[in-house]
Amino acid sequence: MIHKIDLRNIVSGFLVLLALFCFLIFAFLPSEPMGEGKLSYEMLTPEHIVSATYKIYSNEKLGQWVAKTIISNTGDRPLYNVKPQYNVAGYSDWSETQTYPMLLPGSTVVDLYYPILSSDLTNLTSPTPSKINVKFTYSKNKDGEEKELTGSKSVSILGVHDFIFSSIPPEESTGSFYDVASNYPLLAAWATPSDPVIMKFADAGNALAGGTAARLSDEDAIRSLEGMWTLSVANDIAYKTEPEAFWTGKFSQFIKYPRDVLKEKSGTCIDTALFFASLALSQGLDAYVILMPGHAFPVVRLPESGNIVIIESTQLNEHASFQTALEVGEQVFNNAMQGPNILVDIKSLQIAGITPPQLETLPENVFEQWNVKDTLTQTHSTSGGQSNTDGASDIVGENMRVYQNANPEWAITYPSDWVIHHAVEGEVLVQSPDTKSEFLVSWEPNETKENMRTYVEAALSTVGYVQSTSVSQENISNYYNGVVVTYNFQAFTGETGKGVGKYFEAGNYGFAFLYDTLNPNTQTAMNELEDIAVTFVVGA
Amino acid sequence: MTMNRALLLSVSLILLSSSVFALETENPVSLEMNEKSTINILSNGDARVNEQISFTTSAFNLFKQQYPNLNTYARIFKPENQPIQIEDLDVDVDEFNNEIIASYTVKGVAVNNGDSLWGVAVAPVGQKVTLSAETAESLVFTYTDFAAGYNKIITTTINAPIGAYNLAFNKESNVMSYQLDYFEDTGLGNFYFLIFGLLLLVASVVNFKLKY
Repeated sequence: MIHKIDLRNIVSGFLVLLALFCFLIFAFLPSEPMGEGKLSYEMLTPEHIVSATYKIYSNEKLGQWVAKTIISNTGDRPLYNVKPQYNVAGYSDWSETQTYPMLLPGSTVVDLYYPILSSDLTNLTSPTPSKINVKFTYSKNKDGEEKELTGSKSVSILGVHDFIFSSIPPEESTGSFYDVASNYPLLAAWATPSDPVIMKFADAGNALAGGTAARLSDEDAIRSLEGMWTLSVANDIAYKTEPEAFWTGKFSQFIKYPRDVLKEKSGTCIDTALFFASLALSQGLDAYVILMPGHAFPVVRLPESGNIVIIESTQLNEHASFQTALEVGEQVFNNAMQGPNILVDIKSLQIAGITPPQLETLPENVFEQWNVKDTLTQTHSTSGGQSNTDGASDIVGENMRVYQNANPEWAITYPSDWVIHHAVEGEVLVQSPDTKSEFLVSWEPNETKENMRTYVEAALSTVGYVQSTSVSQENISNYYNGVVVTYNFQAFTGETGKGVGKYFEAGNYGFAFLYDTLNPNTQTAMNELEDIAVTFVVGA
Repeated sequence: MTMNRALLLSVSLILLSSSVFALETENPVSLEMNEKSTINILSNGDARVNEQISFTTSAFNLFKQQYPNLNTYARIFKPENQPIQIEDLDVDVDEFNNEIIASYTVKGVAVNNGDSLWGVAVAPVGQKVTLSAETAESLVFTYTDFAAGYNKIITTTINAPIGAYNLAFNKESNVMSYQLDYFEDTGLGNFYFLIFGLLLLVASVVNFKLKY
């Protein structure tokens, strides 16, 4: 009996002691945290990297990240010194990014990757698959062992000419023009006013206009634009449709850089718009491109008045005069204003950081290689586009020179210090040294004299107010029945002058022969012009 | 960039994109917007945001022109390249009052800089914001943005998480900071000893009552 009681008591006592020991451990021994931190992430990337705008991706202010990583701690304990790093396989080094000292359980950080991409991207001519790699280093304890987690995501790098009009997913797009063309700011990267090739061509065009400083006045700006237009026409730049970059799988277009337009002497509306806008920008003018559904055209703001000059650049294809390009441009502009349109402010966008890619350095004689004319009569030249002997011959007497045109045949004798400007194909301007007096001979195949008059008066109205004071008939070169109109003229600069326009048809051509002056000594200048005008002959 | 600034920027850019040319060539159009937002920061650093954007009638009409299908306007809160991560977005348009009302969660607004110190980038460095009111738990900022063609007045209240202290705002860096202690969960390690001890006690009682 005693033995039984003792055993039970002993066992129970032992259990009680053991229980007390457990309670002591519970009460006084520090508890080790349970579980561990667990790093998880989701990396968002754009569907494409646009090669042409590779520079913008490093500019945090523009917000064009290449990876947005949502990094979370889904574990039970904190993570320490979480450091994400990225690269674009083959096109950037591993990034140096922020370190997050502590990521608590249930917490998230959002990390953005703005890579400095290699200019090698500009060598890509078609979409190229690549990967955005990510590497995390972190510790599960404050001073614990460093762990690493890696991952990657595929991305398509577009060819350097590929432009995607919108990155808005179809399900979020309103279908409006603004949504369809929402990437329009990136177009600024295709405008290259500082490209030496474009600058050289623009300078040559400007020289055709007499080497004016385009920014000084509205008149000089228009002259400069006209010179550049004329040179573009002389280079037979044609309108040509391009593939729609269907390989991108998006509403997109293959867009040429202005130098490509020059090299290939062709371009779409948007190519030629960017080309001409680049020329204007290179001369210090503010140039824009207006987008409307299915079309694009350049606009230039005049330096003094702030008025805009609208140019229909596809008129290059028609070998149209600059005035015609302006007239058509105005019609197109009016149409554009009736519906949705977007102004691409190239200068502002480039200042903001949307700059062109690094283009290949070209040799000095690139114009020769590309057969680009930088004057109107020479295939290749290193001189400017104006000349006082260009196309002229036969010095007549001491101070006179004869200009003879072959087809159609006509000629004029003029003072040898006057300067000839070949405006466009079918147009020659002879200008006095002080640029106040001028002759213009313009011809157009299968055109009526009435239309020639209309063209000339429309052109004059772009630089001032024109009033016809008399209209009469006259035989030109003693043979062709012409309409002779006398003008009073007031330029937008405030200068006034007079002029005479003679419009006639000869052979298959419509002709305009205009002489005018803004010389303050109007009558003397007109007398001099009349003396020269009588030397103008048409025919063999 | 804070979530609020980013949002406002998005709204303004989209609203103005269609009228850029008009602004360039015609008399500027004045659009007025008034935004009030409350940002409640949670203990894990995320934030719950309630936002109310009021437009003048003309601005609201322009907004509706831009988004003829109002189902798509929600995307202005989640543009593709948004630097912040928004979840649980709920947007309503109050056409009667020319207002947009939105609520959403922004992930990782506050970043733990180690120990108990947290930081929130209220605005980009260098941007002027005005701290118009301050309490132990919240900061109120006002911000006006007058640009060509639009005026925005923004009032943002940022509430620190429950239990936060030492709330401060650094005008140089535009960073709001606070402290919030983190108590690490010690788990059930020692708790098992308590259970085991109790079981032993029960066993000792049972043993005592056993008949051998």
